[in-house]
Amino acid sequence: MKPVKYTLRVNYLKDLVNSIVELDEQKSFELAKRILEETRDPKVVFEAVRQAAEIIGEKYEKGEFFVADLIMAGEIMKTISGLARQKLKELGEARKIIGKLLIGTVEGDVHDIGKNIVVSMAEAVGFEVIDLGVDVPPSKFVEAVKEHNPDILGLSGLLTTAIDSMKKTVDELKKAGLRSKVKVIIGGGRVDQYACEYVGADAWSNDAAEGVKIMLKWMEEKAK
Amino acid sequence: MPIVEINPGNLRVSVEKGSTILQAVQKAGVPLLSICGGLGACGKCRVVVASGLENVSSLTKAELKLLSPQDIEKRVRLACQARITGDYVSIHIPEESLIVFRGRAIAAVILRDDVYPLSPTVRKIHVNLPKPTLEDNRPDYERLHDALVEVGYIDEKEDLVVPLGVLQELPSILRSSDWDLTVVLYGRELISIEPGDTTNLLYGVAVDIGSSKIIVQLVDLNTGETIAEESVENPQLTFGADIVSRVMYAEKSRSNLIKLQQLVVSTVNSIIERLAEKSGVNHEYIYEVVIVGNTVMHHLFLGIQPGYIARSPYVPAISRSLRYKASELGLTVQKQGYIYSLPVIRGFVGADAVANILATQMHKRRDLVLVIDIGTNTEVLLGNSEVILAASAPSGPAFEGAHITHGMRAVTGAIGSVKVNDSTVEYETIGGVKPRGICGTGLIDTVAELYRNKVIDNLGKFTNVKHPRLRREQGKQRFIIVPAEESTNGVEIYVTPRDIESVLLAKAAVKAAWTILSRKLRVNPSEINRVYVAGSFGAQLNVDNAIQIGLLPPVGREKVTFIGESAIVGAKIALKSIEARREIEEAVGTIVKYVELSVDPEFREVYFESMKIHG
Repeated sequence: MKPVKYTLRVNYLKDLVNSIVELDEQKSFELAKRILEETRDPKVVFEAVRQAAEIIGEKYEKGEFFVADLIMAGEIMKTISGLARQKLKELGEARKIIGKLLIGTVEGDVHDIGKNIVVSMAEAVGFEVIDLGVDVPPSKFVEAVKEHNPDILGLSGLLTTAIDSMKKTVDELKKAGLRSKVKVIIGGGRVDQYACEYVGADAWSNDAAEGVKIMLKWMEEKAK
Repeated sequence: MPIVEINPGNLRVSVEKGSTILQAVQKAGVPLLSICGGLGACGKCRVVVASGLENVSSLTKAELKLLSPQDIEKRVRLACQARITGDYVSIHIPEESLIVFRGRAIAAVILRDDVYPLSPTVRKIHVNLPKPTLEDNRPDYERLHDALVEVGYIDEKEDLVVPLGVLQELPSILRSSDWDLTVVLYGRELISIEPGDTTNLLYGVAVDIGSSKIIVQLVDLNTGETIAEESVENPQLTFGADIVSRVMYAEKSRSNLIKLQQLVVSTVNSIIERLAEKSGVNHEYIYEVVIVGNTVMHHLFLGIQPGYIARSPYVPAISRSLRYKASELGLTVQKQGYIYSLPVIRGFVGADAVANILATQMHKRRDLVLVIDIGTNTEVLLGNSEVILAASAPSGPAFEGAHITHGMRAVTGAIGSVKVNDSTVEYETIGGVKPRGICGTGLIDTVAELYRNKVIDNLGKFTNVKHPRLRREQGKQRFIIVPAEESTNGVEIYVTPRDIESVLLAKAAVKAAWTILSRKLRVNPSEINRVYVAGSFGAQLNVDNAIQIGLLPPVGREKVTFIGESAIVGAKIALKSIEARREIEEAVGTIVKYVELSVDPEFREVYFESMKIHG
């Protein structure tokens, strides 16, 4: 029996990855459900999501995927990760959290499309995400860092003025003596290396998939 | 009657058989160069017959003399010589044949600024006062006042406001002019007394402070005529092309703010000086300056900190119309003269949008009017005399060529229009020179044409259709518009999938804005009766393509009008008519409603839906 099951699992994995990458919500949902019923192994689903997220990131990089696709993919990954988590719970287990991300759109800015993509992709790959929403003042970020003790702080914003708010937030963090406790990544349409240095962040990205990749790498390094 | 199609501009006019192309072009209102006035002597009215050459009379002697064989091969004709002999002719006017205005061609319809009877705030009254005697020793001011009552300009009980500066000069001017003088009233204020009869010297200035360009026009307030105009780049551009960087600079310190203010004030002053000199007008006879501009420009000009506009919740210092002494801002016009600013609506819908309402008269119309002023923030107005909804769409700088691989602003060398064929690509550049990059209108054409040719799908992605210009470099796709050997610097000009997406995201913001405003008015966007496209962007816009990609609503192209830099027209209307000011101030306070899209519950969904080409 075992080898058969093994082949099945490999195919399931591949099929699920493909259906996510094809942005086929219905098929992904059904496949994930079947996998969970038949294999009783939520890890397969999580693995599929991880692999899909990677391929989607590459496709975005190549220009084959657009922002709208990332949003769609994010929703699919969120749904099926939810299914897998539920299954884990039923099995009396909990998913291994690879890290904790605290994220929000900085003060003075209300744009959150990019931030929301990051949230769903980060959740999909196994982060516990605490989303503070939009127009978040520096003090609120600092309090939340104290309260949740995240591994990573994500500062998002689209407006040019958001860069200044990001800097203020990092400055407040330094004042509170918390800067060394978290890695800081900034994201948004206007951020670049220059902004990253100005803000005093550890990394920057204006591509959600790439941002998640950076955060994964940080967690790997931390685990070592 | 034969139809003549004129490009750029997508204009169609019908003319009598036998008319010259020049007559057709003039009928369409396009300012074609014709120095000799149609004699076939100057050779400046060159046009290209794009199709229907068989419906055009054969070459005249003048053309054979003035056109080279290469020109003739390229189907260049002189508009004053070529006559229309058949039913349909399509012509293209190269940029160098247009009367160039402010450095670029106008293909825009200039809206009328004489829709109200002339009634400027400043009035001049010529009076002869009786000389004082021991029997009649009324004080100078009373004497003047009584004379004005006598000629019926003011009521006996009505007093005038007399600025100290005017009063200090009153006794000497009355005497030096031998009691023959002209009184200048601004409302109820005596702003100047001039010796002799100067009633024919009454001027005002309209100013549009754009983020990238400042336009100044000098107007004769006795006739309503614009007698001189000039525009220059906004000198603040060196502090950032986008206004937010200027805001950030201004909020760093008070002196930074003053610096940005002074840059504009001194620019406006030097233009006024040049215009006055050019038209032989003494600046002492310029009594009022009307300014319009977006809210950040408005605040910077007045020296008000604009920092709070650029951040959520985007609050301006004030919205109503303002009136100050021009001297308070250091404007060199008549020393007691005034500056008037049209009201602003909100942080991202400014006095320029209000000026557009005045210019299009949408606040008085019964049909449904949409005004779109495309920029980094696109202002969208929809409504009529009952209600006008105003919103700002975060379209970003893609239409200005920013964040696009080979993007550039609409200046010489930019590809302004593109046509994709089965195996080739045709394009035209601004100024007819070798291409350097592609501007907003060229990008819109590219996306629409790629979609029409099925090279991209409705999401903007490259399909499997084979096109010789579609190439893959290091795994990344690109569509080549200009092969390396044809461009200025020998580099291929192409668009990437990301460029296409940027255009679609930009148009999605604009489309979401007019979609949501339409929903709020419970109308279908296709029912909009008139669409005005404002901004310098509009001039080369291909309407069909803009409708195709969904930047403009699906209305007939004949309902779309480019109005170019129309805010200056609104400023001029306000300068020339108190009535217009009262009307627009009232409208802004009553029928104009601001819609904040960033918190609108429908915005997100509509925005995503609007990213599609046939969304």
